Amino acid sequence: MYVDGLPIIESAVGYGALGTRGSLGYDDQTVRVGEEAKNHALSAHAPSRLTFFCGGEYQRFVCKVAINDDVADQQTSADFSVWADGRLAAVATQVRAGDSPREISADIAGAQRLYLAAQTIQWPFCHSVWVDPEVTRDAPSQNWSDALGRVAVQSPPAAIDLDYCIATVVSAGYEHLLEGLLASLERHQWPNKTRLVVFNIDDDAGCAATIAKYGAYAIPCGLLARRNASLKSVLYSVASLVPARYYLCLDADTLILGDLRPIFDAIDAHPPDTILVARDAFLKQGSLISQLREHYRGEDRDLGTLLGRVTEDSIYDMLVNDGVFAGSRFAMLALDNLIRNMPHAAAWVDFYADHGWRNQFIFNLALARLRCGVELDWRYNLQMHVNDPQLATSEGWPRATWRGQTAHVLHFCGWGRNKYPVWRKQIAG
Amino acid sequence: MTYLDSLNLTEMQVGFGDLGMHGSLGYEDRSVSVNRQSYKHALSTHPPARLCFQLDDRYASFSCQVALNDDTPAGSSYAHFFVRADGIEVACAPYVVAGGPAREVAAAVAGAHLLELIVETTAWDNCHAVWLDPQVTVTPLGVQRRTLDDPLGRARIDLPSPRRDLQCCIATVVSDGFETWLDDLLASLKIYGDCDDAALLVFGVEAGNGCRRVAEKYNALFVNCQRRANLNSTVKSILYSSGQVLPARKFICLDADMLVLGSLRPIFASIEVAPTASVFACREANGSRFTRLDTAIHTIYGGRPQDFGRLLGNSNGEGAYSLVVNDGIFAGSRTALLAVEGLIRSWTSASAWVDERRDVWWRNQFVFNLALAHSNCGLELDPVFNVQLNSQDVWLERENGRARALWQERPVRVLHFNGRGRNRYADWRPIISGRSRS
Repeated sequence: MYVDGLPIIESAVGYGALGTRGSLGYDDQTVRVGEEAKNHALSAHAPSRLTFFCGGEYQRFVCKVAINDDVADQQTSADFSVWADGRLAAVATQVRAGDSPREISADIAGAQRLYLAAQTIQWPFCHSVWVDPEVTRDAPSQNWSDALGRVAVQSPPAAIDLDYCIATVVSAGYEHLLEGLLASLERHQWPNKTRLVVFNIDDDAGCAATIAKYGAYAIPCGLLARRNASLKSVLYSVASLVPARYYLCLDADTLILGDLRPIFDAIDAHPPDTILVARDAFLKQGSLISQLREHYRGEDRDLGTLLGRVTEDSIYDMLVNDGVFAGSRFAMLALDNLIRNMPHAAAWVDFYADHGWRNQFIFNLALARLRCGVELDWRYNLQMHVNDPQLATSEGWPRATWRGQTAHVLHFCGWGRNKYPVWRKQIAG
Repeated sequence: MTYLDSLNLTEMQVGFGDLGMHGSLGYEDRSVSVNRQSYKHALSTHPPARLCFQLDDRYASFSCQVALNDDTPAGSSYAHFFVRADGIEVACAPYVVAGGPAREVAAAVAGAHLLELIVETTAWDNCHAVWLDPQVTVTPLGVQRRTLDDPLGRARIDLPSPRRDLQCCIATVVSDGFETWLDDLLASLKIYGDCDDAALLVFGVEAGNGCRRVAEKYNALFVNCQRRANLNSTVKSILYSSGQVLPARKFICLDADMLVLGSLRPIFASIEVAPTASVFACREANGSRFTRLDTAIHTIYGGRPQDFGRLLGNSNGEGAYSLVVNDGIFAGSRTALLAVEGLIRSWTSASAWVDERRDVWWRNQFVFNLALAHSNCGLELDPVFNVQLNSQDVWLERENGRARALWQERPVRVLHFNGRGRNRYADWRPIISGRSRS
């Protein structure tokens, strides 16, 4: 059923009137997106909010969002969000004039009210449009998959009541890394209503035992793609599966040596779509396009394949390592949404059998497009493949010093994987 | 007179190599050399560095010069040098730049048992910081400099007495006639700011007892300043010097024409987890109307493209910097603020440029933007920390006895009554600050 057939409870738009049945709602114009008329579109100039009565009868909300064709390329952009009874269900940010429409799919099961919001910081000509939005009664699929199609979760977790989610992913053979991470996490204090969530690939028994030992929440998942480092990209989609207000995603090959609560606290200091993440210690120089060529074995045309239209994204110079990243639910849903709207991304990640970390380029590309990366200090992701801190254990507490400062997170990535084995065993107890 | 290298060193930490003594740099088999002169009693301390010496109440004064070693390429790095006596900061030489002249440091240390020498930087690579023949004597120091001009020469600041390290400081600047604004700001900060542990610092420019009394009412440290230029809004560049006035680790600087409506704690947390050089601020006009500094210099500040070269000497793409900010609220580590202040101070044309257009009395803000662009150190704060009422509307309401403002349906944390927004929502200001209960 199209949303324009639902009873509308409230509407407020930033200019003109709410446009329905193909009207833009102002300037005597019609909704056209991708040179097509859209008869069931809702045209709601940002900032706008629309509330519809669903009566708990619908399961999903689906639509595309865009800026109407009459706006010149790049002139404006909008952030779209979908709320079901006050629960943030889906987000699409930085939808720009001239971009292809962005698909949104949201679980609204049981919601009495559906709330659609569009915000902008570029008000002039922000002709934001919900393209033929629908609600369906179809029961949602029991299978959840991440944005890059690495895994499937057959039984989504029962409702977990948490504000802060710390998430990681593990597979068979890496129990020892997980043990180190969970043991080091356990040494530190966390805000109330924090829960550790572990994606356990193929529900490995050894990993499951470790997860249970530390009282973490296990999410068993089936493998859909090659077993390599790209599996960690499941974390890019954690917000679409696990409800929480804030997320901190950690690679299983990290060790926590300091208080990470300030990361959660800092999320609220930045715009809502912000992802906090540290720079890559190896890929220091250049832009996204140069690293695409040199490190990710790609070609310039790949940007167009992945993103559709390419603008200034290629010169983005904040190249990050995704071993540690954090954001609000809004930001994480926006990240998930953009990657799900890169239809060729999964195939591109899998193109070379011997290059297992192309997912990280997709993450970088998403941050560039969304302009949402804010830098964490290197102390929160000290990458051991290119750094050699001084390690010590003082009164039972591990400590790592590099360049005169104390690291909070050590990341045993790449060829740093096997460094300091004895010291790490001590941490894991 | 006693060189420090002959005293008992009780603690030592350097950021690279070893502590260099007796003329050695402490790494790379190099020697201390500044302006081609060697120093046999130098202490070479690559930052972050901290040295502790036992004085045992035997000396009255400390002195030396500080610099970056000759082998550091000119302009490629800088360091802040601090001296503490029994935990109290008694001297500070911020933003000592490679290739620049050595800077004098002198401090009274009478009665002190412990002397600490500290070096910090945000330009770690090749930061070969050296203390040139540091020494202590039993001769008391002469008259010490107790004033400081802000980096744009707007005012002369009477420096407060030395004090211990603080964690957090919230600073503002006020002049006569703005007592009520100050009162409202500090009251709202107390009610909503969630920062009771932060030290409050109020700069009063030509301010009388009224401003001082308001500051005292909130246990704020009142720092007297004398104007050195026209008294207008450019005087808020005093806040750029906050890091020289109080030894706090983290600063939030607020315009006096603001009201706080939500917790500022996330900003302090963000300073903690971001790179030390970061300076936090909100976008100008709460939007993306200005996405290049070279557009803003013309549109907002009445400047010309060639002004970049005039201010900087050589410009290096600063015009394309996309984070154009309003400096009504800015924040950062002390290290970051000292770097920004030092950089602005080094631009000798800046003060004249600010005064050139009397009808544009906010040009200091462009200089601040230029410093962020030049250092590439700006990080965007959520717009709700500086909702600028000269261009934005808000919805005000009361909920459970507390005032609340909504902007784009989001709770506002700081309202900024700037420019044409100065007198808007006038009825609400006393309600937010608690002056009126009705």
